Amino acid sequence: MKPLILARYTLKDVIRDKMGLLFMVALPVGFVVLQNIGVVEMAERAARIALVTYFFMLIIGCTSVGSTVMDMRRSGTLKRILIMPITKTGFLLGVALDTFARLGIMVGIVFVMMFIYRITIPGSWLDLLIVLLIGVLFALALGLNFAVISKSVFSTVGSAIFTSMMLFQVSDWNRGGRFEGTIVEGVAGHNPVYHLSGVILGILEGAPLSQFHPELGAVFLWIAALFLSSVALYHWRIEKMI
Amino acid sequence: MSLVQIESLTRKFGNLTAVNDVSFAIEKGEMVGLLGPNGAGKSTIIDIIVGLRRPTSGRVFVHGLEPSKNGLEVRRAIGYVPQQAAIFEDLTVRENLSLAAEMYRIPRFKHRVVEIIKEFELEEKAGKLAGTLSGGQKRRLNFALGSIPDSQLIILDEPTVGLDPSRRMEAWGLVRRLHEGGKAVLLTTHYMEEADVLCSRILLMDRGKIVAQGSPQELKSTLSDELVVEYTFAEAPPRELVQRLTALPDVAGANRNELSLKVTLKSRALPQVQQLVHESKLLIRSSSEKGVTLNDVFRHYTGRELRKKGE
Repeated sequence: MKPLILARYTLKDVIRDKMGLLFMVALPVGFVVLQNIGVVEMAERAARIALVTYFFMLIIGCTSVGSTVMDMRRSGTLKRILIMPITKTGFLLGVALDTFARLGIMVGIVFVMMFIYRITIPGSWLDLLIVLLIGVLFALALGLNFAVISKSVFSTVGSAIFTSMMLFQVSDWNRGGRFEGTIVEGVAGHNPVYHLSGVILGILEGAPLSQFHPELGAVFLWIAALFLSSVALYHWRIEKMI
Repeated sequence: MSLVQIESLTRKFGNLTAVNDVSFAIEKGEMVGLLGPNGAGKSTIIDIIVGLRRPTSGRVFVHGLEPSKNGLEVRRAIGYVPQQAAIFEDLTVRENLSLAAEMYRIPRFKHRVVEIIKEFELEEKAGKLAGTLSGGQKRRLNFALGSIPDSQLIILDEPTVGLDPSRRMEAWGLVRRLHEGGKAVLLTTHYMEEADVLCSRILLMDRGKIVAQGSPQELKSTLSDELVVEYTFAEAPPRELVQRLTALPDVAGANRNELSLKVTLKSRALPQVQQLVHESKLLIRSSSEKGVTLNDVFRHYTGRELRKKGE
C-alpha cells in the first residue's frame, strides 16, 4: 500500500511540472508522427515505432527513475520520506511505480497514435504492449541501481544513458548478425535487451507471446536480480544518501 | 520507561569519531536541546535515533525499541522537522500533509489534515502549490508535517539555522506549539540563545562528547560567581596583557579580538583585572560586565567558542 501512496503523490508532483507533462505527451506524439512522414512500408513502419519506442523507454526509464531520487535528495524530501514509516524496499517500489506509470502513459500515447495512423501488425497489439511494459520494468530496475550509486543527476543520467546504449548496441537487433563469431555474440545471449528486442520483432512478425517464455523468463530473472541488487545497494548506501 | 534512552553511544566514520560514548535519556514532556557547534555530532545522534544510521557501539531505545532493529515502529512514533523545508513543491499544502498522513496510516487522515492546516494557520494556502508559498509559510508547512503523526516525541534538526532574528523568533513560536500537550521535543541547535529560551534541559556537545548537561540555569550556575568583562580599546590590546590576565588565579580566560578584550573571571578577581588593564595604559573606549551565558559555559568546558564568527 505505501509504495502506491508514495507513487500516487510523486506522480502528481511530476505531472504538475509543465515541462515534464509536455515532454510526456510531445515525445510519443512527435515520434509517431515523424515515423509516418513519407512512403514507408507498413511492416517497417511498425517495426521502427515499436523498437525505437522500446529504445526510448529504456533510456527514459533508466534516467527518470534516477533523477527522481536525485531530485528528492536535493530537495530534502528523500530524508523526510525515509523517516516516515516505510521500508527501504517499499520506498524503491514507490519510486519505480511512479516512473512506471509515467512511462505507461507514454507507451499508451504511442499506441493511440498508431491507431490514429491505422498502423497494422501481424501479431497481437496486447502482446506488444505487454512486452514493452516488461521492457519498462527492466529499465526501472536498472535505473534504480544507478539512482542509489550515483552522487549527482549528471552521473545518474550519464551512466543510465551509457549503459542503455551499450545494451542496445550489443543486442544486435538491427545489425544483421554483425557480431557473429565474436565475443560480443556470447555476451549478447545474456543481454536482456537482446531478448526483448527479439521478442518485439517476433510479435511484429506475427508470433504469439507464448512462444517466447524462455526469453521472457530470462528477462524476469534480470529484473528480479537488478531490483534485489538495488535494494541491497540502497541498504549499503543509505548513509551516504541522506 | 524513558521515551528515549541512549547508552554509551559511539559512532565512527572511518578514523573520525563523530559520537563518542554518549549517554542520556529523554522523558515525557521534556524539551531537550542538543547544543554544540557544527560537527559536534548532533545530527548523527538524530540519524541514529530515527534508524537512518547504525551505531558503531552502544544502544539506543525509543519507546523501548531499538531503531536499528525496529525501524518502522520507531519511525511511526516520531515526528521529525528537518533543517531545510523538505516539501514537495508541485503538491499543494493539503496534498503534502495528506501524503504524510497516509504514510503514517492516520485513521480519518483527512480530518487530521484539516486540523493541522488550522493549527498552523495555513487555511488560505491549503489549495496552493507548496512551491508558491513564502519562506515563512514553507517553514510553517515544514513544522506542520512534523506534527502530523501526533507522536509523543518530536525531533527538530536545527530548525532555525540561517534565519534572521525576527524569523527565528517566529520559528520559536512554532517549536513551542509542537511542545504543547506534553510532547517531548529533542532540538538540535548551535544557537545558545535558542537553547536557553526554549529548552528545559540542555546537553552541551563538543567533538562527539557531552561535556555538560542540565537546565540552562543549572549550567550557568556552574560558573555562578563568574563574570564576563568586555573592554573596547582605542588600539589592539597587546598579547602580554592577555598573558598577564590569564596568569591570575581567578581568571578563567581572556580572549582578544581586534580592539576588544573579553575576560572571564571570578568576581573577586575584578579589582586585579581592572588594575592590570589600568597599568597597560590603553585608552578604554567602553567596558561592560555581564553574567554567564551558555556560550561562556561552553567555553569553560571546551576552551572554544560555540559559534565561529559569521556562523
